[in-house]
Amino acid sequence: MTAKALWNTTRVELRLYLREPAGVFFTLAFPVLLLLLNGDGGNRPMSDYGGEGKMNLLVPGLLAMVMATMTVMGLPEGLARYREWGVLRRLRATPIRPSVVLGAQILVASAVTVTGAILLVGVGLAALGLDLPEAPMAAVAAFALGTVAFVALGFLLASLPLPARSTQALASMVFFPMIFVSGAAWPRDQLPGVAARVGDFLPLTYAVEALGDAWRAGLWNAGAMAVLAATAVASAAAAARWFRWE
Amino acid sequence: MTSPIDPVIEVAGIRKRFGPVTAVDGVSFTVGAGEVFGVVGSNGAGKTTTLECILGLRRPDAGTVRVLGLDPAVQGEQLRLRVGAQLQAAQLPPRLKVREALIWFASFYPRTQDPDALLQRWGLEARRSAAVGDLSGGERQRLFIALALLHEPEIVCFDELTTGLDPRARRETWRAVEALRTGGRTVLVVTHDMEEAERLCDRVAVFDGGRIVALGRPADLVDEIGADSLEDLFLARTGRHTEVDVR
Repeated sequence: MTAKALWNTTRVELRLYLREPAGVFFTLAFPVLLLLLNGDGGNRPMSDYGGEGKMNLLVPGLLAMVMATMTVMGLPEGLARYREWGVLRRLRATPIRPSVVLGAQILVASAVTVTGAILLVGVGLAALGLDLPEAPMAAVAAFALGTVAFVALGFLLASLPLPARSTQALASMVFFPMIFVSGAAWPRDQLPGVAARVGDFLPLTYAVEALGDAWRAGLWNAGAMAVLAATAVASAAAAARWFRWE
Repeated sequence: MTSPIDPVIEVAGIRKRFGPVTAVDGVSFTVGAGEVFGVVGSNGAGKTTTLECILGLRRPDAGTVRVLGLDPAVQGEQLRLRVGAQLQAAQLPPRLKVREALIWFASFYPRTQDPDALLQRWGLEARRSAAVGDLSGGERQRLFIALALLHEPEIVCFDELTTGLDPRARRETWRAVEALRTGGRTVLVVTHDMEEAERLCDRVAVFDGGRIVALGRPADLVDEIGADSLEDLFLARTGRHTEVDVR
């Protein structure tokens, strides 16, 4: 019963996601577009970065951006709208467990995030000379852990008692500064000192670090992964406490 | 007032406060199997809160609720397999399509009616591929009724069923509720529309300020005070009747 409801709810959510062209663009196409715009010379060595390949420098950051896009920009707004429209209220009048609705949201956000990552890495490998990660398992682990952390953060944003429009504004206020100061969309060492310091307090910075270390140095960055795990636990706990259906 | 012999909904002395506001203040009534029961009153009278307690969406601060012998606040999931509801202020995602909505909701229940037969019955056949957000008010309401009846519930609850419908759609909806009665299903109609309550309901509970101020068969209630209609009774009992002198 629950499995059937979860499967059907996930299918419905996936269809609704595909019916929002802007959402599809930002989660799947935009990161690839950014990569292609920076694609001149492919994976050419960058002298400022010890001769490391340009794509090897860019892709881990963009992967971190992909990780935060659907989870921070899509998930909270979607849930806040569901609350505002009374969709969650209508579903509560059925026998399905509330966790089914949230589970479907998590599955769709995760599936979209993983698809975005595969597209990005696929284009990098196929067209731009990107190298495979030095430590593939560490890269996969960092990506998975980061995705969990940002899904939890997305739920935390969704659990704030705000109208959907405010939730959307808040998500943008979190997302855009975060991708610039964390090293996801712009190299951190080219930021002014203050901005780089702000980045120290943002979880995405640690996702960029963990992915970059796995990709280029073949390292498991335990410290960065611990920050992501702590973000996941703290956000999930706060969201569980504050989330309201109506 | 006599209580039904075979009660399927029993509400006894429930109270519910939201901060400083007492929404429901000691409400008791029973609904018998196969009865069409009206919960009537103006906005803010405590009708919807009472319905939410019956569906297990809220737990009353005091008093007890039993529906089909179950405690909604504890056995809500079990209960909602056997109860259907169309709720006020509860929409579906606007980009969801009509037939998709029925298929989706069907997956919440072990057994349901055929969604296509329901589309036909509720005149939504031609709109099966329309987005919910593109439906007219009447079409949307018919979809919500179809969703409430999907799993052939023993009790079905309608909250402000015909609000916003044009007169024709309103009458069609009433006829449909009357057809439900012949099927032996128990129907709870929550409405501020006295004409609707008078036409559809075997018995009504008139709510005002979180309390029941009158309870019984509409015709009896009207006779009792020598009123012309349930609306007159309502205005008399709820003390909100403003005389307008039109000399």
